[in-house]
Amino acid sequence: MNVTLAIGVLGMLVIAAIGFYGRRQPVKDMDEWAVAGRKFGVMTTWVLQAGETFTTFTFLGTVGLVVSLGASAFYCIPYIPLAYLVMYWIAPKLWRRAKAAGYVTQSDFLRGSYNSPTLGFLSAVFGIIFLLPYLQLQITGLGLIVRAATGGAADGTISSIVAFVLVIAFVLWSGLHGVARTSYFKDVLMILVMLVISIAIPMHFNGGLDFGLSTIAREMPEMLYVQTGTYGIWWFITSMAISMIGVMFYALPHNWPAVLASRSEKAVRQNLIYLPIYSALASIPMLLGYTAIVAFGTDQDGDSAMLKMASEALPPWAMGVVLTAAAATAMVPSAALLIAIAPLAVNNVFQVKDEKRKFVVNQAVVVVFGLAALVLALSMPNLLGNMLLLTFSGSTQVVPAIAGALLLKRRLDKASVIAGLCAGVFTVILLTFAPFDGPDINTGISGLIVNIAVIAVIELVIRVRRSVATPHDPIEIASEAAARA
Amino acid sequence: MRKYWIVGSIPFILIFLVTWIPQINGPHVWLGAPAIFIWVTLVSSILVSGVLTYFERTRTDLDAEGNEA
Repeated sequence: MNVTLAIGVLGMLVIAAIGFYGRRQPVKDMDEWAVAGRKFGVMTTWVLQAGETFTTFTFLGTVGLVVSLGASAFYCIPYIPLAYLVMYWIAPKLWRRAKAAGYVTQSDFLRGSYNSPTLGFLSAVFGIIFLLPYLQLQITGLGLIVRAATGGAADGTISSIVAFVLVIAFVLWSGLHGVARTSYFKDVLMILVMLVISIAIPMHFNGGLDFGLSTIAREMPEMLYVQTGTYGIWWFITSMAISMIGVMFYALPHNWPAVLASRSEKAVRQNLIYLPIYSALASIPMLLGYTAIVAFGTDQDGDSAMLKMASEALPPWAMGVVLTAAAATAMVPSAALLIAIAPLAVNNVFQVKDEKRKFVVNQAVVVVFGLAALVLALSMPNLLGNMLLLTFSGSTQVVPAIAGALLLKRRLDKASVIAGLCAGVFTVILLTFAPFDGPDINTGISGLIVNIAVIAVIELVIRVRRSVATPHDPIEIASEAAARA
Repeated sequence: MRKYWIVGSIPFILIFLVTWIPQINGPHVWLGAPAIFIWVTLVSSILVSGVLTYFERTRTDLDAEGNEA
């Protein structure tokens, strides 16, 4: 085992130990496990939400995106901070309702808001289907990170298994408390590593704090701006829009525990004020994509470019620390995903009512779904990989239901919301996998258009039928009252 | 409430318009980074944080504990 891998594996054990730390007994209460008893302050809520910004995508995806798309890759910088402007107003409403009714999942909220177990069931099934590929991505991402960081000396399979089994164990033991503690560790380490990498790599390849932009401006100026074409302006705008809509209305179920675990509306609001600065820090490493283009050209595996450059610029022990930070970006979001998936299954798919039984089933679901994702990631990486295409576009289809529950004065009918959700998801699946080309915009936007149109038509029909069934004519009402008398 | 709508919409407009402004979405380098990168990063971090701080400090519908009245 080389030095980098040894320090990386040690780092994974430290992450798991932090996940277990502070609890002599495992958490045994569903509310405590899933939303930490709703006691987190501004700082912990901030760390939990910030943790969702840095995932394996930061290490594998962002630099690769710049290598392949150039400036079009910058669509992923502003959508999260822009979403905070809306979340600032709706998150406290969501938190208040969830606290009053004891909701612990997105589907609990939808079921309660529309008084519809069917909507709760459907949104939970879709939520699990869309989150599982994301969980699988973290596992395969961890394997790729280990391979790239060790220069191929380790294939990453054993590291992935060890890391993921540790994640399942500390999630079972500590629940959201464990995720919060590991998030603190991960975020501090990530900021340090990002700063070191953003200085060391340009110094090594360009002899100074120069990301190689002067060379790019001279030789490939088209990489500096969003152009026309497949990944042009409309792709940039619609990709930013669909991602932003999904974030601002909490479309992904694993974003809910961080909000529901807050102890007050103030904590929910105030952490959003400081999060945009963190997002800006997360975007700086994207510039390393240009350094990679100058160093290795555009015909390279962009996804491993950052770690390849880091391994050339840093000594092996420092790469071990980078590997630990990268492993944390897979392990902590994986833990958060398991904490979102299990209550969805227990409360809304299996609809277990008894509190004691609920918690036992919950723990069983963590193990079964966790191991299933691990086995599938290692044996059939492409199966869930293809489904990942659906994760963001598909999950956004719950937005009309959530927005309707939070913002409309007159509640939508559950039938129209259910029909809209199903039509939206069906449209996304059709446009993603069908052997024909749909419109040149993000499939999630197409799904949302169909979704909202279906809701509008069915809502109109229901309201017209209701107004026909309910007499409004004063003479008619008076005669009916007289008849009743 | 109208002033919050106006102030809150500024970052959205500045980001969504950026791709149509050639002085920003062009082959320009500002401070060692692509001009569009600097623009979207500054608008989406400092400006958004500033707008959210403005919301929080000027709201009159919050009680002493920061809950909506």
